[in-house]
Amino acid sequence: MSSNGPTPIRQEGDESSAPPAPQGRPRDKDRATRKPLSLWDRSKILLFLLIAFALLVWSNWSQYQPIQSLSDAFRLTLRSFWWVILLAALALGRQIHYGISERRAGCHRFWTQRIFGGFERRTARLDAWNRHRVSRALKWLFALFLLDLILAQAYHTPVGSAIFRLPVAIFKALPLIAQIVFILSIAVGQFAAIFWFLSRGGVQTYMPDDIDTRYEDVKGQDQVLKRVKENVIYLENPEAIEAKGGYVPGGILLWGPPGTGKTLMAQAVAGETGRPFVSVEPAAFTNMFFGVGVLKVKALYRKLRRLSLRHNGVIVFFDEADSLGNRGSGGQGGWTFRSPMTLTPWSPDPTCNGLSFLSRDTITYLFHQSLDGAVAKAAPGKDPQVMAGMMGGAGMGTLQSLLSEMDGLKKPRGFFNRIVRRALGLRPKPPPKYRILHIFATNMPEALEEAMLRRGRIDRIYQVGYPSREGRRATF
Amino acid sequence: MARMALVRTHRFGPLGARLVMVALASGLLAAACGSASAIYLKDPSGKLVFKLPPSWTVFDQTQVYRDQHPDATFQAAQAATAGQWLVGFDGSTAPSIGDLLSPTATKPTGFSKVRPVTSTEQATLSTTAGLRNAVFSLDQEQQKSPDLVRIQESHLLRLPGGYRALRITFSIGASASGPVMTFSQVAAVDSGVQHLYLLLIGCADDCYRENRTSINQVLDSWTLKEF
Repeated sequence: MSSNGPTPIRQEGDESSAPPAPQGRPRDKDRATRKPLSLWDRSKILLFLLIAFALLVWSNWSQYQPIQSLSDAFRLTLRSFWWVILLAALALGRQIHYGISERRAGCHRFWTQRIFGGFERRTARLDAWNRHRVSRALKWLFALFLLDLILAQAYHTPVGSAIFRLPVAIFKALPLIAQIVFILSIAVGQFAAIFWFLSRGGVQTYMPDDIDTRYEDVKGQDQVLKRVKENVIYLENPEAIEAKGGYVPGGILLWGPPGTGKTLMAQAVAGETGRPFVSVEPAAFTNMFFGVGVLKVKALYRKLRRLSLRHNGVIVFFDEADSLGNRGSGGQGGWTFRSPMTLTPWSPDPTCNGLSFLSRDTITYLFHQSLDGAVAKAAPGKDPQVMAGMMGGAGMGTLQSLLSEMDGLKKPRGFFNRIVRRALGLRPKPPPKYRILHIFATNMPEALEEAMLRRGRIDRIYQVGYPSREGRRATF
Repeated sequence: MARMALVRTHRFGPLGARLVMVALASGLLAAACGSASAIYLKDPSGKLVFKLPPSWTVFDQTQVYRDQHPDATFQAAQAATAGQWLVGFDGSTAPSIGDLLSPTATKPTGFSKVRPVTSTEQATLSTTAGLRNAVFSLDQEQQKSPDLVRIQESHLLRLPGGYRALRITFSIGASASGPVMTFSQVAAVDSGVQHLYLLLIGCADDCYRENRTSINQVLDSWTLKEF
């Protein structure tokens, strides 16, 4: 038969020589019998129990050497630790049962569908939370029973009463526990103290009436000021706005050239509002050690949540927000951003709408193109290289932590709420709605992280241009 | 078919192994059916071990103390006996803690004790006479009434681990016409004379003779281990 001939048709008689067609692994529910166990899985528990019992026999025997015979050691151990043999017998019975289920489909079906299936159907009637609570209560009871058995052996008291001696034992051990905790606290406390001190600073809290600046001190920015006022008014009674279907903004970005009154505007907000005003310095998240920035963000938001609950709202102001950095390429730095050749979505020229219509890759490409010239001039003969972002700024997880805190998971908070309520079988209460208004000010908005600019984090973006002629005249 | 055959040849392997395990477990259980041939006792440090016949009854030190001090509470008994170890034992089929070392006991009774040696006792217990008089002041009683105290055997033993022990058998009577009791005693101290290890076992003279074998078995099993 030539290779170009027709493909031979397989005859029925050829099937015996044909390799078996590959078959997929059946699902457990599709199996007629139980899936066979390996020898190790079959015997490991039994082996463990028998080895444990053998060790107990050996221990007993060695304690009474040279007067005790091995058979006596075996008998005495059996009398004291009969339950080990009982467990071994149960394990053996379980494996025998498995073995039958692996061979007899009827037996397997009876157990999986009638016995366990019936149990599953009954428990499925409970709702998931109640099932969880019942199972947890049973687990606790089982753990207490085991503890009672162990203590009964240790204290030589009857099972059932031994556990009541535990509080006394714990009370007696308190000095030792205190010593251990003290030693551990010294070891851990050094690091905790270092990081606690490092995570302080860079954040000032102003209570109402601490600042004298008012809206009328901001000259020549009436349009922007009007919008900012609106947002602050929203914070006065957010529930009423939300009840009518409105949306209370959580973040404002003020961007524009330097010296146009962005910081003054924030200061006026601090003076006018009846809410606490927290000012975050640009260098607050510039740290020497890994993780300190994250701690600072967590400490900041802990403070913001506390103030928000106590005063029904809080305003946090990030001055020079570009110092927070950017996860993208070349996000930080700024030495080429203000070049006339730099094209970004924020550039008013040469396009009327920045480059926001372009894809991110294209923007990045254009951005790198604009960098190439500058780097080549700085180091002729070398390949132009771009430093990655987040250097010296809010890198090392700080920005991510900030993003998460601004609009992350709304998780239950508080030790009592999370731990005690859960231990008592109660659902943790959902967190309250924290009213935090973020105000960011920057003159380099292109350096900001894109994820920060989305709705939900920064809801309003206002360009603060140069003040009007009347404003300038009034200022100077 | 080949697959089925493979399954079949594999089928009886684990079953056979399981049968072996069942047989093994049954054998072990059968071996465990009988009771232990002795009651084994050891002090908390594990240095002293000895065994008693299985039919004997053991009393712990709190029971012994409360028998001697009926008004003592359980806590008071525990506090008074702290730092020492004591067990009493009675070979009778109707054991009573009140029969310990009693002249009316029809079966051997006794006790074993481990206690620290005080600094004032160290000089005394480092001598053979001190060990001999560890329970009863035998020398003193013998001087007062030589007919009432008779030492039948006395062996000074050097045990491994630096222990020095004295094993004696003696008869003692309260009066010339009163009952005579025979006891076997082992008293030992460690090399630094820090602890005293005692065993006293006996009963009325007739009873002792009847039960000499089992008494000697207890004495022979009394072992101080070196650590």
